Amino acid sequence: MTLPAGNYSKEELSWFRSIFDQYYESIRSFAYYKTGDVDLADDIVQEVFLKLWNNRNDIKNETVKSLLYTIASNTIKNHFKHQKIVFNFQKEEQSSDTFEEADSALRQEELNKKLQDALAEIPEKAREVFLMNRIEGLTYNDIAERLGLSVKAIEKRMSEALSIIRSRISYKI
Amino acid sequence: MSNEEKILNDSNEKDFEKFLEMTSKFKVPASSQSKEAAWDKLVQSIDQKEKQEAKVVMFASRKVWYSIAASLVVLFTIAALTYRYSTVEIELSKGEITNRILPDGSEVQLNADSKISYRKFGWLLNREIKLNGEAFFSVKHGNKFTVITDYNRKVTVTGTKFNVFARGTEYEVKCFEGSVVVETPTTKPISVTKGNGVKFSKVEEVPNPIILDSIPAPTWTKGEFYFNNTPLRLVFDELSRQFNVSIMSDAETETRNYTGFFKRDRMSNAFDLVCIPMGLTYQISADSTRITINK
Repeated sequence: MTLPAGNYSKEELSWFRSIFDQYYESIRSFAYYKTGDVDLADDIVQEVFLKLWNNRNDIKNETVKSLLYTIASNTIKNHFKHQKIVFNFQKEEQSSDTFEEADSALRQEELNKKLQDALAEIPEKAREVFLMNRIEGLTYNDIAERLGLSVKAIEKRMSEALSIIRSRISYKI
Repeated sequence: MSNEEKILNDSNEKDFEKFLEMTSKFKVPASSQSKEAAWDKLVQSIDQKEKQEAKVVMFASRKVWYSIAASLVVLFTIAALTYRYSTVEIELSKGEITNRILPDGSEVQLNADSKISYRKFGWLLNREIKLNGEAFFSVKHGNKFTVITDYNRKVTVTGTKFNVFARGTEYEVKCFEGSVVVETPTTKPISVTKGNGVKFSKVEEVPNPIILDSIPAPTWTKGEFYFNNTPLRLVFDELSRQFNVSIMSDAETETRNYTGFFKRDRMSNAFDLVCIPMGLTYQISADSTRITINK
């Protein structure tokens, strides 16, 4: 861990490090859900945490979580032109017990591609909620807390995302 | 719902389940940099920013304001001291005559046993010259200043040539060019024009007008001293100043009036010129510092 030499206390920095440890992955993922760009997500993470640091004197610990997401949203909104998203989610190592369903590797690949495209087509707000839930396994409550929304709103966005995925699949044949 | 549609639906439902399952197995693609590298980069940005901010903060900080205040106090003190001690004094003893240029370029010719003082740095604010003795001023065109002498007598001028004689209660202002304004605590300001002058012998006396006989400059600046019905006391004083000698004479003689002149070249000639017409003789001491006037 690099020790900075600036005009701030060790306590401040260790507090900051703990926030970073806790939310680095989540914010990076969040940025990826929104932009579909890994490098951009990395840049956004830098900017988000830097902004958090600059406001460290006004931050309450209870609000840090949602603040990070708010900063991330705004950063993306302000700095990055909305463009067509192409996801490239990595699959976790294929477990071999799904063998009976894997009628063919080709079909697997086809499904994967279809899914990624379907995800890209979900409106941003529903998409990020859906992915936070599916990929990070966050509860609706947790998501609501992070995004500063009500649980009802999360449920609504989830069902929106699901219905879009469902409609994508019906084009299958 | 037809059977076929049912089968299709089931199939879709199956795919949907599968999709959902797949999404939960998705991972956000790894970053090209490690988390630790991201942290280091962050800290680096922070340090850079803190450094920049430190500079900005320095300017606004109390310390800087204190130093600015302290500097101002020091500057002000220096200015005040400079002003206080920047007074230039020119003092001539008997037998000396000098020419000086004032800070504004004006010229002053100072007669023997005279003293002027003025402020070098405060000149623009305070164009005042204090005079004790006799001086001839050639003020640069357009410049204004005031000559103050004992008993708070003032001559205020703008770009003129004038002579001020101020010794004891004797006060005489002669104007050689333009006009000057003479002011004393007991008189209203008197405007004196070229070729004229005013003379006060006592402090509260009504000024006597005089007509100048030498233009463009007082004769003393050429080493000639003219007297018109002047008490011998004053003539002896002038002789004493010009030749740096002390003159002994009796009071009665000193009250007699003299009309004539002497030159500054040779002392014996000068004393002859004064004493012979008045029927007086004089003795020069061995060391040439004392003259005794005899009836």
